[in-house]
Amino acid sequence: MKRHSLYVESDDGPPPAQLASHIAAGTLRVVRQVDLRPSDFDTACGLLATAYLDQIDFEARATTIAEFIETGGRIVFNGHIVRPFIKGMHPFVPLATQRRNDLAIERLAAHSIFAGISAQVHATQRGVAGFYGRGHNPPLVGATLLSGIGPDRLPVDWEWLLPGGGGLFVHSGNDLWSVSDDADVNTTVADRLVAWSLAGRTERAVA
Amino acid sequence: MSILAVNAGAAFHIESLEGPRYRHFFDRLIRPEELGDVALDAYGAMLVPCRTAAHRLTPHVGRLLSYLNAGGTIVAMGECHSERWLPGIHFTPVETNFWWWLEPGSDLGVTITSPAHPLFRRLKRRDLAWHLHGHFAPPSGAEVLVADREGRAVVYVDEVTTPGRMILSSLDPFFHHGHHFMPATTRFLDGFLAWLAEDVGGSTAVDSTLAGKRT
Repeated sequence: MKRHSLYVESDDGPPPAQLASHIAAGTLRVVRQVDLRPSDFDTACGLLATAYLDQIDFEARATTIAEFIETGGRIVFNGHIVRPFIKGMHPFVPLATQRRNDLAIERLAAHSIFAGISAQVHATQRGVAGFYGRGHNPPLVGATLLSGIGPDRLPVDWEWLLPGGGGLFVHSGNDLWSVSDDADVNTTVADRLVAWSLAGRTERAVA
Repeated sequence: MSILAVNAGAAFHIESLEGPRYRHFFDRLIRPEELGDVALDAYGAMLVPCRTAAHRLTPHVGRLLSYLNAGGTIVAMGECHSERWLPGIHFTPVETNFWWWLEPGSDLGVTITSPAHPLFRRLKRRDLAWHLHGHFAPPSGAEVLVADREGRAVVYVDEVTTPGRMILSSLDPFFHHGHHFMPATTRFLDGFLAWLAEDVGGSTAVDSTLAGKRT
């Protein structure tokens, strides 16, 4: 089977256009969340979850998910964590106030997902701030903080990698491939997220 | 009060249904997959929040229809493709204009069409306006509560298609409230859920043998 990640379809679809080329190429396989089987975690390199993810279901799969990550699997998580499904996770913290300044976005560290993409490209849509995020998912211990929101630069994006290559990329807002006015940026981000999700188990296989 | 709500587990569902602001309105929360195991007739109303995946409800179409035939009330909120799992729904999606309010003096055009309905003791026009996803073509005899600029139904009550009652909305307040976004959606839920609880509170459990219409 071709190396692939799973797009976990939690709504009625169709999957977003930004991911279409990967689905067509077979590097991304669409699986409805209600049809997700433990064996899917064995064969996939990574997994993309949307803001529609059924987190009650994911919480119930915590053991499978832990094994997946420990063996190099990577998860791209978009949205608000309300049911922690990895040990050490804590629920989303909404911003106390949502004034314009509270919604400002700033890059905190270099990362392949955001290389060459200004935070300003993500800060507003049609001049309106707030689509990117309205709070943050508290990072796991050892996470690298990638983007901050508001004057306190609360971690709206972060990456958490284990020594074995598995891990999490967390964006605490609407699906990251849909939050720019620039369609090319959205496609670029989608491409990079798919590549990131494939990398952990691919690198283990090469090693 | 006797309201059963379906919890499909998205963050915005959990925040809206389990969060302290509205949890007290719901006597029980169930997963879509549990619909086959629950005695729906014990509840005065069943609520399906916005953006619940239709493919998780369609396996239970028969039970939902039986509940309606026994006089039950089903509330289906926006973007959950109610036309796929409830009878007599004719829905037309529209391209959503998220940006209408950027124009000075603009108006989404949403109107209250049945101002005497008790819901509007709790909701004002401004509590209905964030954006639109589509409109319904209700059957003759249905009561349209909210319409778009062209007069097409956005929220309506259907007590003619079945012996029960269907309350349909193309508005999606749970999604935005649960994402801590758009204060109008919170105002809508404040009023809507208080009205629903009040409305259902006086009724007894529906009768599964006598398919009588609610009065």
